[in-house]
Amino acid sequence: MHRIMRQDLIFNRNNLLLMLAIMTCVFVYFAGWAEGLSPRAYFLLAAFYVGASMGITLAAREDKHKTAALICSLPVRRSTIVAARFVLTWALMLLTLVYASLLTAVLPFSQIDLIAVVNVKFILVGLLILSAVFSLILPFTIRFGVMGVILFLVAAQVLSVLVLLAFHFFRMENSLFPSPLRMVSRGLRFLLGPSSTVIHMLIIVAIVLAFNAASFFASRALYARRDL
Amino acid sequence: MDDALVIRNLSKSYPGFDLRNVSFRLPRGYIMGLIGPNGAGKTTIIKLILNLVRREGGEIAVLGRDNIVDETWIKERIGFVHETPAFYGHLSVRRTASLVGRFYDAWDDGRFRRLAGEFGLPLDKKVGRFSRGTKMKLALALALSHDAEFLVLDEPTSGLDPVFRRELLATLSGLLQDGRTSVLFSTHITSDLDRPADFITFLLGGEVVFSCSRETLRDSWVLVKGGGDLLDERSRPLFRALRETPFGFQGLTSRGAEVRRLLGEKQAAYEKPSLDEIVFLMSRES
Repeated sequence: MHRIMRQDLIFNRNNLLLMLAIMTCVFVYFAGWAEGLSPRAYFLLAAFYVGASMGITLAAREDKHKTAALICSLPVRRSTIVAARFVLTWALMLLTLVYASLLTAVLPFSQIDLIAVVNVKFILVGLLILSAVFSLILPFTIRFGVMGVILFLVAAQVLSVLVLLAFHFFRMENSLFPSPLRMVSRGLRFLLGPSSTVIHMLIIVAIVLAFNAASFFASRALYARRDL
Repeated sequence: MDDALVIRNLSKSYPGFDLRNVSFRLPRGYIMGLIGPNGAGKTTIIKLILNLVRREGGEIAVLGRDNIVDETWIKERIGFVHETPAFYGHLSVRRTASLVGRFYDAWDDGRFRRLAGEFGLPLDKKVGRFSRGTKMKLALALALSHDAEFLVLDEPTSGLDPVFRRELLATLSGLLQDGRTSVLFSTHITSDLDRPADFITFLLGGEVVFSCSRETLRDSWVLVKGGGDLLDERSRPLFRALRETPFGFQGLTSRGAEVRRLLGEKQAAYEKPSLDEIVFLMSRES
């Protein structure tokens, strides 16, 4: 597995260095001067950007050069390739969170409250959000390449618009059901607030593990069925 | 005698194409030519051996082991050349070799550099700038640099100049001196197999027409030439393939003795067909 991970890192070296430079500049500006965007949202967006970029760049490169057959003809199982890409994506997202936290701690002019982001509740809720997104994106990317990501994003947007329209036209926002955005927002506020307990956190851990396990096994099965 | 490759009742379907109950075997230490017109199923069989496509039925044993159960063990011992070699265009030859070599325990970097020198591959040039022929040379150098026991070459001579083609075929024959290396060589250029191939498997429309040694092939098929008046209800069924022109006919048969008895020695001409003639007549017939 480490061979595949090392190879993917070598391929993405320039891309990762560029992202690191951009992320550092944006973060320095954000930490010192920007107002309005929550530091929590920034941390999650940065991790999402790095994780998504890693998967999409790899898929795009394989699509462009048609090298999936080359990689799969080497002495390595397809399940190992999928596992390596899962581990690498998560490792890079977690490293992004650590890097952003270190910058917050080191920058002398930082106005970000480090305690707001470096705490168990935020870390677990962050992992939950990232897992929810990536457990859906990764199987599409692994099975269909860049086209899969595009299809996923288009389908997600269409579905979101349909759900919002449904709530609007059927006036469900005034009924017992809150609108989806309000529902998510309330849920997150509850989990990050003082009312959430250790039990809630354990449930989050279980959901994170379940999302990732389901996503991994689905990706593995899809990739095994892919004719190259 | 143990086998490098055993394929039994292999099947795979695509829209508009079926590979049906393909079976053949290649003993260890020999070269097999996999021939047939475009679309016959050669590349599909090779991809099935490498597990690049999923098989729908049958069995494949490489060096005595199942190609899916022992996939990693088998691929460690296979040197593979794809019909359209795909590499990361932004990497140099040196970087490509380092990337591929890392996956093989028996990778011999010295051998790769020697082959790259022999094949005229510039180590620091980006692969994306190479012609198809040069990419094929790179694929061959990679396939020959990890002490593979079984070489699987899919149309390896396409895109190569005639000089390098001859050199490659001589290299392949030289490899077999150890009695351990086996080669499966797919091509539709039958002249490539005139010298090196010990066994020939001929595919047509996803089915094996024959799979035998070159000697058996030479002894069992007869090319019959004669006037059109010789063809009648009794003689026609004896031919596997027939080509009729206003001046006469050419017929391919594996029942030479019966044809001779029926048509007589003087009325028709009997020849040993070349591989090219067998492929041409059978493909045309289908």
